Amino acid sequence: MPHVLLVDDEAPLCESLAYSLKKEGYEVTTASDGHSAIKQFHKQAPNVILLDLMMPEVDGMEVCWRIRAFSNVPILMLTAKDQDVDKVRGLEAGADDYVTKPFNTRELLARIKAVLRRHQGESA
Amino acid sequence: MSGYILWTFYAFFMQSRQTDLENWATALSESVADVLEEKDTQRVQSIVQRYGAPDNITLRVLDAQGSLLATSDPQTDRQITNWLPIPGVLDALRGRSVQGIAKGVLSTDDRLYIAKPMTRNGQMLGVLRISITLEQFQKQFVRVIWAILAALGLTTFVCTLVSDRLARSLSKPIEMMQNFAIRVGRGQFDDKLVIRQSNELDQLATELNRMSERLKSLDEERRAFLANVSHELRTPVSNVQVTIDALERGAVDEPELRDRFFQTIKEETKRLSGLIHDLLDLGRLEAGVTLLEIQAITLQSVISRAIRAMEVRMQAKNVTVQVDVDDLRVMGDSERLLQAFLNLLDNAIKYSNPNARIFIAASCNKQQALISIQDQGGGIPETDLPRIFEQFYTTSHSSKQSGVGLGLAIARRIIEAHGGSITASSKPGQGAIFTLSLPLES
Repeated sequence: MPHVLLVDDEAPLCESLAYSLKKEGYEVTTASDGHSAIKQFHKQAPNVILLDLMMPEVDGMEVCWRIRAFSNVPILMLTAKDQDVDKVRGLEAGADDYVTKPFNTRELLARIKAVLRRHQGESA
Repeated sequence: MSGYILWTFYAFFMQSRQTDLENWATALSESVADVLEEKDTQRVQSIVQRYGAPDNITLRVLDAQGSLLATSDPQTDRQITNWLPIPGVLDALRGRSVQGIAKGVLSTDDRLYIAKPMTRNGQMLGVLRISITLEQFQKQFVRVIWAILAALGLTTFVCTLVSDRLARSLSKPIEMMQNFAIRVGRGQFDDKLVIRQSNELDQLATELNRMSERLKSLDEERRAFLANVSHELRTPVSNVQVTIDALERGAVDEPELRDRFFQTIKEETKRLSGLIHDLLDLGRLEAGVTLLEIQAITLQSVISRAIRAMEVRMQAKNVTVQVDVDDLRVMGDSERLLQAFLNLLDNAIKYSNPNARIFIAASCNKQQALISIQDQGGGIPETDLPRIFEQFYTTSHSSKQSGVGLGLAIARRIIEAHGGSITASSKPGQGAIFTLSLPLES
């Protein structure tokens, strides 16, 4: 059962998306800011991270840097920033994929599967 | 100009030569007359020889009949048989002293001559004719003309060079400015105009640079605004979509979740429409198309309406408000001013700690009403103070609070549209004070 760490400061999104993820068979942990995201990452050791970029204090980009320092866990960035520069910066920071809000849940689930498959292929 | 100078010079020289010549002639004619009276031809000859110079001065003495008695230039004069046609001789024989310019007796050079009759006791003794050549003077004069022409040419050349340089030094910076303006017009704000001249052009360049910087910051503001609008619109839409997806995936069958998710959709839709409303308000205020219905209104009524509208929120946070508003009438649009006060009050409540107080005071100062809204929150950091009235600006510790940072921007636009002003001051930890001024009813 893959474990997803969902990091977003938008509580409604966290709750609804967590529901859909659980329905799809994932275990879900949510975090609403950068600090608790890193804490939860250490505690839960998730298989994939869904990371929002715009968060107060420690933003998604910094969380990505910090986690990449010691882990190659798949990271999908979720963000309302849609400019190419933002996408490039996100991918350069170590993200595996980049999803722009608003997104379709079905598409997000497909992308999660894809990064997990790729990651398993790499580690096998 | 130089022609006139030359002419004056020439005239002066001729005048002085003629005067000299006349003086000599007078003096000489006296001595020659003395000798002629004694009929001493030998002495006449020796005087003539003494004063004449072969190349320069020729002296001749003629008797009363016009035949040559003595000459300083015998070689030439031997060839002349009749002296009467020689300029001045005939006139002098008739008793008139004549002077002028004529060709030499047998040469072609110009000579200055004087012919003077010599009389004693009413008896004509003869004529003294002196002539001096002008050849050297004319040669000298031609040289002077050339020198002056050369100087004139050189001056013209130097003037052309200097004015060309000057024109270039003027036209080059203007050309640079033109190119700069074209680049700025194309939206390239990054380069700076450098003109090293300390004059008006330099100042113009400084102003152009300032204009470019201002345009650059406006452009950046616009980009930031668009990025912010995009982000703020995408977030609630995304929340709604994800929630609808969750409902479709089964949440609709779980009554508790269903109700909460529908509530989420409602709230996010409200957030979205509020945002669109704010954006349109701001856009209209900025574009100046908002028509204010200005009339005299009592400040107290607007402020108490705003407080009543916020009562529920204040009760929820247990925040109280203390009002000390003088009975003032201001000129304004009551609905718009209400909106501004609601935004300011909303801001004050947002940053108030539970059980805190908000102070609203108003008094008059000259032609203006001064209104202050003070909260007991954490205050605004000094670095944020200048920017809190910008669109989408929220201080770092306010991000957890609701709101996207349009409220204060809208309040400022409304107050400014009324001809008033709004400022914020704060000491960290001691809350913030927003002070606004509005024109009083005159």
